[in-house]
Amino acid sequence: MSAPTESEQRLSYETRDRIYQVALYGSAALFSAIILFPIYWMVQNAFTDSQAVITEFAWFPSTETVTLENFTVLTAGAVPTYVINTIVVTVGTIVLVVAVSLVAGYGMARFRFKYKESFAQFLLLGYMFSPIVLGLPLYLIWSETGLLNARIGLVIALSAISMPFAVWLMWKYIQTIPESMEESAWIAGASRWRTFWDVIVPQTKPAIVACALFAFAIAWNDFTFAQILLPSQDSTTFAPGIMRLIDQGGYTSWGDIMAVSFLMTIPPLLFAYFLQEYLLKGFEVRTR
Amino acid sequence: MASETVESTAATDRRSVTERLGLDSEAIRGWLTVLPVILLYLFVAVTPIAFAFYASLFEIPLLAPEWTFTGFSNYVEVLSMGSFWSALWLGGLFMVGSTVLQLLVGLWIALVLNKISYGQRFLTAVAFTAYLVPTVIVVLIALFMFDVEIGVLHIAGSNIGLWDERTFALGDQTWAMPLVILIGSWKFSIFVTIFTLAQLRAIPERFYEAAKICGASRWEMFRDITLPRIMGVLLIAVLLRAIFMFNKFDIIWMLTEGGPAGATTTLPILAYRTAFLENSYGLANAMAVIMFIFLAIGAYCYFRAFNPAEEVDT
Amino acid sequence: MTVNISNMTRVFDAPDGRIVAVDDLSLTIDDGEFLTLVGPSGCGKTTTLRCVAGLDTPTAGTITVDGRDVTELPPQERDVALLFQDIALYPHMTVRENMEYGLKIAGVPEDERRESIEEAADLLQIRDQLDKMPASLSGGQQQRVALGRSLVRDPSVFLFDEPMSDLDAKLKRELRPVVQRITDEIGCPVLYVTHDQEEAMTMSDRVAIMDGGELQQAGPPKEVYDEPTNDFVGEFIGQPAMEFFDAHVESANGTAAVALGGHTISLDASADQLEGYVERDVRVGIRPQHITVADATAGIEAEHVLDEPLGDETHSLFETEYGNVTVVTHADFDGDNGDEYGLVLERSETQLFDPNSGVRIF
Repeated sequence: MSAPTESEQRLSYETRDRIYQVALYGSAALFSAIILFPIYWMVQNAFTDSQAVITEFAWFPSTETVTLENFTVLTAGAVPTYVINTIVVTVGTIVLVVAVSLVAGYGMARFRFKYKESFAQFLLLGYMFSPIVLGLPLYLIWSETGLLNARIGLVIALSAISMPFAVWLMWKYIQTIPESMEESAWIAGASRWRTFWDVIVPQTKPAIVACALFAFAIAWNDFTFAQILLPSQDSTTFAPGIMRLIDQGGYTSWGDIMAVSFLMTIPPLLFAYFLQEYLLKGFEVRTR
Repeated sequence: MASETVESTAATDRRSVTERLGLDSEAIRGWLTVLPVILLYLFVAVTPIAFAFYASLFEIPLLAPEWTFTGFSNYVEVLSMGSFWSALWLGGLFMVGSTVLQLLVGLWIALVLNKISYGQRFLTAVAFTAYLVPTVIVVLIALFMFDVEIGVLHIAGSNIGLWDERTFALGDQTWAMPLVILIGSWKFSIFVTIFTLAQLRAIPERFYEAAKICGASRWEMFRDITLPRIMGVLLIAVLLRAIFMFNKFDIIWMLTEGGPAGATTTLPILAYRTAFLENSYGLANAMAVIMFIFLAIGAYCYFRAFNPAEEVDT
Repeated sequence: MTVNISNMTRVFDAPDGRIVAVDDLSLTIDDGEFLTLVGPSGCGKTTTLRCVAGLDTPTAGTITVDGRDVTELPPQERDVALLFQDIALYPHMTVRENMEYGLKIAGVPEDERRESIEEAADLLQIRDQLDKMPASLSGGQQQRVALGRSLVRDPSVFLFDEPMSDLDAKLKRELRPVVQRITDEIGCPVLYVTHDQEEAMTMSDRVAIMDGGELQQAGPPKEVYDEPTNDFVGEFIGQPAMEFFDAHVESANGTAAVALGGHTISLDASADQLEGYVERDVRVGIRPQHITVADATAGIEAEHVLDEPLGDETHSLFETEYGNVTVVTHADFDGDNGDEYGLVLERSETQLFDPNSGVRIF
C-alpha cells in the first residue's frame, strides 16, 4: 500500500519487502514525530524558566534554565479555581453517566417492553447532538431555571451528550451476562435490586471503565458548553477560563501556560496508556 | 433455615405483593430504568431545539430580554445576510478540508499500526494520545508554537518564506483557515484511526494467507481484502466526522474567534457571535435551527445509509 | 414438605400464535422424594420447573408447598434451591463467597456461615478449592460448588435444571452419587429435570415423562420401564429404544395372538382381555433385549446391516419390512453383512399399543 504498484512488478521480492518495511516504519516514525513534537514542546517549556522561554530559543532543555517555578501558577490567581471546577464537573459527569447508563442498560437488557427498539433508535440520535446548537437555546433555559453558572447545569448537559455511547455499551455488555446468574441470586432470596448490585454491577466492570473514560473525555475536553453555560468569570472551567485570561491580554507567560497545560494533559495520557484495551473494546462494541 | 424463612414471610408479604405487581407490569419497570435517559434527552436536547425554534420567531436583545414577535423575519434576515452565506461557504470548506485530511491521515495511521510488529502497543498509545489531549491544550500549544516572538512553527514558517517574520500566521487571511484545519486534524484524525483499527484487527489472518498463496501483491491484498472490509466503517467515520466538523465551534473559536476579518467564521461561530457579541438572541436561534436542519439531514443520511437500527434487534 | 402441582397450564404468547408449553399438569412430590421430569426438548419440563421455582408464573392451576399456595410467590420467598444447566456461579466471587451468598442474604451470622460452608465442602470434597475463583475450577468441581451453594441453604425444595448436560459421561457418573447423597442429606422434595433417560432411571425414586406439554406417565423407574402407559414412554425410556411392528390381533380358541411378518405370536391373554382389538390392527412393541436372532426360517425376515460391539453385548442392526430394527445380541455375535436372518420376539415381553392413540392395551 505504501510502495507503488509498478515498481513491485519490476523489483525483486527482497527489494520490494525492504521498501515496504522502510515505508512502514518510516510512516510510523513520521506520524509519531508529528504527534509527539507538540507534546514534547509543551513539556520542555513547562519546565523552562519563563524568562528563558521568551528570550532564548532552545531545542532542548538545559540545566541552567530548568525550573519548577512555572507550576506555582497552580497556587495563585484564577487558574486553580478553573482546574478545580473542571475536576468537579468531570467527576460529576462520570458519576452521573455511569449510574444512569448502568440502570438503563440493565433495563434494556433484561426487561421486555414495547417500543424498546424505537427507544434505541432515539438513543442513537444523540450522536447528532451538537454543543453549539444545543448550547444557544440552553443558555436562556438554564438562566430561567437557575442552572446557568452552576456546575450541575454543565454536568447535566455533558451527561446528556455522553448517553448514547454509554447506554448502548452497557446494554450490549449486560446482555452477555447469563440470566441464570441473576435467577440464582433471586432464588437464594436476594431482591432484584440487591441482585443488580451484587451480581450484575461487579461483572460490568470493563463496561463501567469504558463508559467512565468516555464521559471523562467528553467533560475534560469540553469548551463550548462551559463557555456558554458558565459565562461568569469565577465559576467557569479551565478551557474557557484560560482562554479568557489570554484574551484579556495580561496573561501570556507561556511558561506558566505550558506548565498548567502539561498538568491537564497528564490524566488523559495515563488513561491512554493504561486503558487502551478498554478504549478499543468500547469502540468495537460501538461499531461492531 | 427453612423455618426461619417461613416465619419471615408474614413480615415480607407486603413487599411480595408489590413484587408481583412489578413482575406483571414488566414494561413499567423497563421504562422506569430508561426514564433518566429520556429526561436528560428531553431536558438537554428536545426542549432546547423546540425552544430555539420558538425563540427564532422573536426579536430578543440578550441584555434586555424583551421579546418581540416577528414571525419568520429572522429567517428572512439570516438568508439575506452576506455573512451567513460566507459562513456557510467557509463552514463547507472547513468541513470538507478537515474530513478529507482526517480520513487520509487517520486511515494511514490505522494501516501502519495494524501492520507494524515492533512497538505496536507503544505507537498505538502515542496515536491515542493526540485524541485525548484536550482541545484547549491543543489550542494553547498551537498558540504558543505560532507566537510571533518565540513560536517554533512561526519561526520555521517564516524561515522558509511561508509568511512574514512579523505576521501572526493564525491572524493571516491566507493562512488562518488552512492552519485551523491542520491543527484540528492533528487531534481528530485519530478518531478515524480508532474506528478503522478495530475493524482491521477483526479481519481474519487466513484471508491474507489465502491471498498470498494465490500470489497477490500487497497492493492487491489491500484493494481486494482490506478495503472492502473497512469500507462500511470508513463511511460511518467520514459521515460522523463531516457532521461533527460542520458543527465544530470550540477549536475555531479558541484559535481565531472567527477572524481575521471573518476568514474562519463558520456557521457556529457566526451564531455564537450573533447571540453573545451582537445581542441578537432570536436571530442566533434562527441560525441554530438552520444548523439543526443540516444536522437532521446528516442524521437522516446516516440512518438511511447504515441503518444502525439493524443492531437493535437483539 | 410436599410439593403439589395441580392442573397447571402455562401458555406463552408467540408472534405466530400461542404456545401451550405445559398443559394441565398435576404432579405431587413427597417429602424426601427424588422425582425426575424427563422428556425431549420442548416438552415443557423446564417451564414446569421454572414455575415451581417462581421464575415463571403458571397461566392456570396452582402450586402448593406443604399446603401453602406459592403459585404467585416470587422466587425470593419460596425457599427453593435450583441448580442451573450453566452452573451460574458468580465469577467475581471466590468459591467460599459463592457458597456464602445465600446465607448472607438470609442474615446468618458469620461463624455459623463458616461452619456450614466447611461442612458442605467436606461432604463435596471441595475443601481445598474454597478460596479459588470459579473460573479456575473444572466443570465437575464447579457443579460441586453449585451443589454446595444449595446444600448450605438447607432449602425446602431442591430443583435441578439439567445440571449435567454439559458434562462428559465419566463426570456424570461421578456426580450422580454425589447429587443423591446431597439430596438425601437435605431430605426435601427434589424435582430433577433432564432429557437424559439414563439419568432419570438411575437417580430417581419416581420418573415423570412429559411430551408436548402433557404428562405421559409417572412412576418408579422399574414401573415406567416395564409397564409404559403408551408407545411414547415405551420408546423414550430404555436403551436402546423399544422397537415397534405393525400387527394384527387374532383370536384362536379364545386366546389372543398377533400376526406379524407372516408368523403368529400367541399372547398370555384371552381374547376377552383384548376386547375391541380382535381382528384389528395394533402396534407391537418390544425391547431390543427381548428379540433373538435365529436363522432365516423363523420369525421376521431380516437382513443384517451392521454390528456395534460394546464389549459386554452387541447392538446389531437389521433391515426388515418394518424398517430398521436394533437387536441386543450376545457379546460375540458377528453377523454377516447382507445375510438373511429371522428375528424372534419373546412372547412374554411383547406389548400391544393402540395404533392411533398409542395407549398400551396389553
